[in-house]
Amino acid sequence: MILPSFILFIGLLLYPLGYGIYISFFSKHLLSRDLTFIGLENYIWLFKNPDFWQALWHSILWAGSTVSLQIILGTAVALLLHQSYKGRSIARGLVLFPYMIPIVSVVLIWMLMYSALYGVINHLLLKLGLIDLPIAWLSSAKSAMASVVLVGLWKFFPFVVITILARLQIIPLDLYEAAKIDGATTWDQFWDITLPQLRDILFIVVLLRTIWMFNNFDVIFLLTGGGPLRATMTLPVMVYEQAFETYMMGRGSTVAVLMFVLLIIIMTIYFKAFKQQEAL
Amino acid sequence: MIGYKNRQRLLLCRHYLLTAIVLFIVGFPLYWMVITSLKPPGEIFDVPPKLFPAHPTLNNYKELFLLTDFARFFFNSFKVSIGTTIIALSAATLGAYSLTRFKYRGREIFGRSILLSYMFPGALMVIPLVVLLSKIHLTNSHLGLSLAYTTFSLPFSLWVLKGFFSGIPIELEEAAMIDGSSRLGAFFDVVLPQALPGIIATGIFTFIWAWNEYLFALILISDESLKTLPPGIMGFIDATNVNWGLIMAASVLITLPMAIFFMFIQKQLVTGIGAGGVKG
Repeated sequence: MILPSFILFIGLLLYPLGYGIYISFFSKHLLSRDLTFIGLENYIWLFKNPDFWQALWHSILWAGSTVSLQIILGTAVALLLHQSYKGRSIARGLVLFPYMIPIVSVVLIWMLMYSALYGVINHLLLKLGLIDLPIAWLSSAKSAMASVVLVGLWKFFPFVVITILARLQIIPLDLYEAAKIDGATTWDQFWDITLPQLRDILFIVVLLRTIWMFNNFDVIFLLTGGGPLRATMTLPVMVYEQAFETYMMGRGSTVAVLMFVLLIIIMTIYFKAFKQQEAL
Repeated sequence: MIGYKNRQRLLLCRHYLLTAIVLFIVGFPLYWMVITSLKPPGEIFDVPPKLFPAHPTLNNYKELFLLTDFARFFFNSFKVSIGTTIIALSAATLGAYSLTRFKYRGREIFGRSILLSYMFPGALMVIPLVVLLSKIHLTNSHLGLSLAYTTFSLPFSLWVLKGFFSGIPIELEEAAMIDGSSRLGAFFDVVLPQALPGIIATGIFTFIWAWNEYLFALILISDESLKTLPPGIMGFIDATNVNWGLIMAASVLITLPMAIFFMFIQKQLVTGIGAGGVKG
């Protein structure tokens, strides 16, 4: 019974993974069948290439800022929607929308709103007197990264809301009752009861979100294509650039393999740090 | 000193105010999408942009079906998403059952590699998959795309269904087998009906994911008539003259099936996302 899953798993996950690592040691053009073994040349080329280090930095910046903002906003909204008041279940449903709708719609909506000429965001900021001239949010090197981060935050923070909310609902209420009797303020209760109870789920949410944001390709690719002037070029977009724009499949694979290795290193450190904390 | 009742009322006001802010942040971009899709071409470029269309029209929707390949893209997307769901569910239902009911060598390792595959970057998988699928002539094929989607949908379905199956008491099947039914008979008559809600929820998640996917669809399908919605709609933007009304109408329609599904499964959503599902 396990056989169909097992065959698909080997054929479509493990074999391609191995093959991807394999061709990172070769020179291969997208359209040709020739594979030329070149050893570590792709890796050496990459390590010497400042574009790679820049993309690495952008990836860390992108994943770091989107994940931390998602966690803060997501937890805050989850705490709000956990309070009991009329209409909260409708609000709970609506909040999840950005997470469920297609990335293409998200990108198109934000492109329209970011537009310099007729975008509603510029209009609003001008009206409030926060800016003097409209800003080309996505096509100016200064604002492009912040603009894509905002979209990444908007699209993915509901994931944090729903997971934290599910966990909040199973915190035993008598913990709060006891704290109230001891005279704890709301703030004390948050620090001493809620946060420790949320620790395990936060650990997992940070883990998953970091992996997924680090690997995320489409938000940036569709909004800016990695531009302007590589200002938002992250590693996944660079994989695409190497493999499908310059047709160097080997080099593209090399970037992807390094990304994967890096992810494993980050995760190992993360697990270690968390375990150490537990020992204290 | 404010009375207890007044303090509660104040707190409630604060909840509603904060919820309104959150819903505005989440809802405004969606509102803007819908409203733009109803504006005639002249109003879209109005400065300042109007919050309500002066002359709402369904013309953009009409043009979408008459002048573009939207209907064909929609059909293609539907076909690929259904195909992906069927492949993933049929393999994963059997696989997850086996993982929870039988003991054999390698079971633990297989279970763990499923979770590990969440870390595989899409960018890492796409290069070898393109090469391998073109070798067996499955690029520019909806079956090929569905198979490529299995790299995500299979581990996801296995993982979520494993959770559902382990929640079904094994005594039920044992009782059926004592009554003379075969293992397979017990699986179909006893276990499957019990697991049906879980299987449906998993299926909907898989469908939504395949429906929204962009990168694989972009790379594996180049034939215009075979394109799915996400790359198809992004193609509308290539023209020098961007027709935002048309594009927003397309965004509304690609989002609509998700919104409908969403209303059906809001409850299961919590379970699914809670189980580490819905990658994004």
